[in-house]
Amino acid sequence: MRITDSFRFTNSQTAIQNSLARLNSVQRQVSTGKRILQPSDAPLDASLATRLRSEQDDAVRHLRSLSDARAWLSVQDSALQSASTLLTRAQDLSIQSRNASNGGNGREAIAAELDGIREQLALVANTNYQGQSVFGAFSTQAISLTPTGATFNGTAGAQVQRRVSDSQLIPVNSDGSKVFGFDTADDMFTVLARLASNVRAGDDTASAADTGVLLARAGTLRDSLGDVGSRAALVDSAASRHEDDKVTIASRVSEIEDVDVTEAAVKLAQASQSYEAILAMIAKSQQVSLLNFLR
Amino acid sequence: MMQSLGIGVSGLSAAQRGIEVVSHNIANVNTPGYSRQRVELSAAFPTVGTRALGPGAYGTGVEITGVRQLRDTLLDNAARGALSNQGSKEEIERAMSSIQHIAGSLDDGLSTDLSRLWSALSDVVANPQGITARSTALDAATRLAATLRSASASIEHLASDSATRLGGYVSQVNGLATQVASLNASILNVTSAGGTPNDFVDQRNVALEQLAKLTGGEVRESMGGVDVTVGGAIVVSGVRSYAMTAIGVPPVVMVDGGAVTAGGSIGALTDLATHGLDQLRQRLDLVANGLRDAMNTAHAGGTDLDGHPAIAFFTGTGAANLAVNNNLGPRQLAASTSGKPADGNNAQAMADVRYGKIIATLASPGAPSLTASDAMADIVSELGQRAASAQRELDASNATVSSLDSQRQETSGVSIDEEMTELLKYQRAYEAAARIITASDQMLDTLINRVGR
Repeated sequence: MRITDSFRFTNSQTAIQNSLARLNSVQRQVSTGKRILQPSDAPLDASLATRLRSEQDDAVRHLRSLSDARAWLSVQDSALQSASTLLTRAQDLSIQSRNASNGGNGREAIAAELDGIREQLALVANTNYQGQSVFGAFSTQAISLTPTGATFNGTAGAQVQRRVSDSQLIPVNSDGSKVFGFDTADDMFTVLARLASNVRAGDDTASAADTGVLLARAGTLRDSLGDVGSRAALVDSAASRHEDDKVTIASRVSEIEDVDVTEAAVKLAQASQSYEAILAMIAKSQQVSLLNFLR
Repeated sequence: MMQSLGIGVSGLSAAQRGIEVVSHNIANVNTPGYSRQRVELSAAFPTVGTRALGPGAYGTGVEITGVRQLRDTLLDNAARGALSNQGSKEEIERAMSSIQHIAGSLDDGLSTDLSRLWSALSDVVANPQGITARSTALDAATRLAATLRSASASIEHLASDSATRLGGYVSQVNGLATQVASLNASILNVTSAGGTPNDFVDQRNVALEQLAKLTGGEVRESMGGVDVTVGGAIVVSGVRSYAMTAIGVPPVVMVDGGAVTAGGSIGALTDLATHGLDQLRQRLDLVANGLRDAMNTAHAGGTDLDGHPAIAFFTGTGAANLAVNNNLGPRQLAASTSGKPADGNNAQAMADVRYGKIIATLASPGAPSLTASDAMADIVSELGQRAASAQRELDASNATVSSLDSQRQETSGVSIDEEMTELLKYQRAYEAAARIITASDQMLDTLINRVGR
């Protein structure tokens, strides 16, 4: 092969260019900490990273919605606990009212307390979270008291839903019409109002019947409480799953996109060494020519 | 006796001519396209023996038969082909590497905008009556539409940019064609006067290479020069050249009034300007239309904050025109399914568009089969792959060009060391020839001045 000067110069130039390009790419990787800076650096990895990122965004979104769901459920949990306590007290009172030693004053005091319980229960039923009634979906006040009972303002059967995973939506409200017995003949508030008037009237038979109804309502409350609790458990487990996902996905994204710092540093050292070597080699070899030896 | 004087003189002038050619070579060591030249020498026509001289043929010195260029015409042809390929690949690579960012950077682009929209809608679910949450959702949708529009605009821009570049190249081609035609004329003149038009041929070769790179034009030797054809149409024929023009949108390349399909840079640019990125644009349009339809359907199922039925969410057809409905304010976002203001279930349905297979593919435009996120990821990967493969093809093409170039350099390139030895060779020959003349002179001196004293 015949070697010419311009051939050697072109080759040297190409060698310098290639070496500089390598050095530059490693330098860029080290300075940004990223292995993929544009899709063409690794098309499939870039697309995978894009997919993973949207999964990560999904996990973050689910976590937000889950924390909202947890708040709804815990508000209901404490409301149902206090409703349960109030009902127990009402049952105790109705049993007391049938005690023969009660005079007219005693019964009146019991009836007044029953009225008080009814009002407190109304407050509990109207519990709100962020301006929305937790027992009366899509309204601000689940019930309004009337002299003989209460009316339900919510939409029976309506669900306030929150997404807990890509495939699952759960209701985070409780249907007040069921919880407080509006779906039966005697809702809690009607029973309490009737009980109070029966106690005032001293009608022990009727008040005994009302006590029985209250017992049934207390059972429904306990069921609702259990239901809220099991949904809260579901929310907690979903949240911890998404927290795990978030971390796992983040580490996978980093695995795909980020530079292994040690490896990059070694590569950088190699690239800069080879660049120096090429420069030195060219500087040395290009000086020599036949002209140096002709006298 | 007088014969050796003549022989000496022929040697002197041969050596002189050799040194001239060496110096010409050295002077052009870095001239692009220059092929090294060599003096062609042969022994002069001998004198046939006479009675006085004795039998046999007697040498009469050296004769310069010409100055030859060392070149390989087959390699020239191959190099032109490779350059045409390189020209086309360069344009494609430039376009692809500039277009690969239209989907945004990897951590903040179309995908991120989509996620923002879902997340904002899911905040509306949590707080259906919150005006801030509602306007955040609308902002996210506006931003997504703007990103899609700007992606589509980048593609349009690439097409118009290609047309502009094409115009520049076409005027270069016309200059080069004129140059080739006039060099053809010069070469014809020199040849008919019996000369060797070496340097003109070199210059013409450089022009032909540039022409090949720009147009993929083919070169044919003909009487008195070379003809150049582009896509079958004659651009240079002997001493005449024909004008190339690019007219219209998308541009059509014409030579002497007839449309041609060019290769090289011009071919690649015509292609890019005409339909290069049609597919990509169509895919963006499918994304835009799929999103619009799915969001509008989901939105239509709801009622706004004031109990009115929903209006369209997105308007516009194609990525270039996608926009959030102008009449859609925060209160008009139909988040409620039941009509009650506190109901956020329809916002949930809109956020759940994220999971719907709503984007159609080019293969089956009627049947949506991809989620919006998957469609985005596919576009990112397609853009990346096209840019990466354009880069690879350009690298391969560059390698071919440079390998052909070094092969040509092997034959045609000037080596200074070699020229130095040539110089020594002719210098020595010159000295020796001068010596012959001195010797003849001394002999004549002996004969003329000393004989008979």
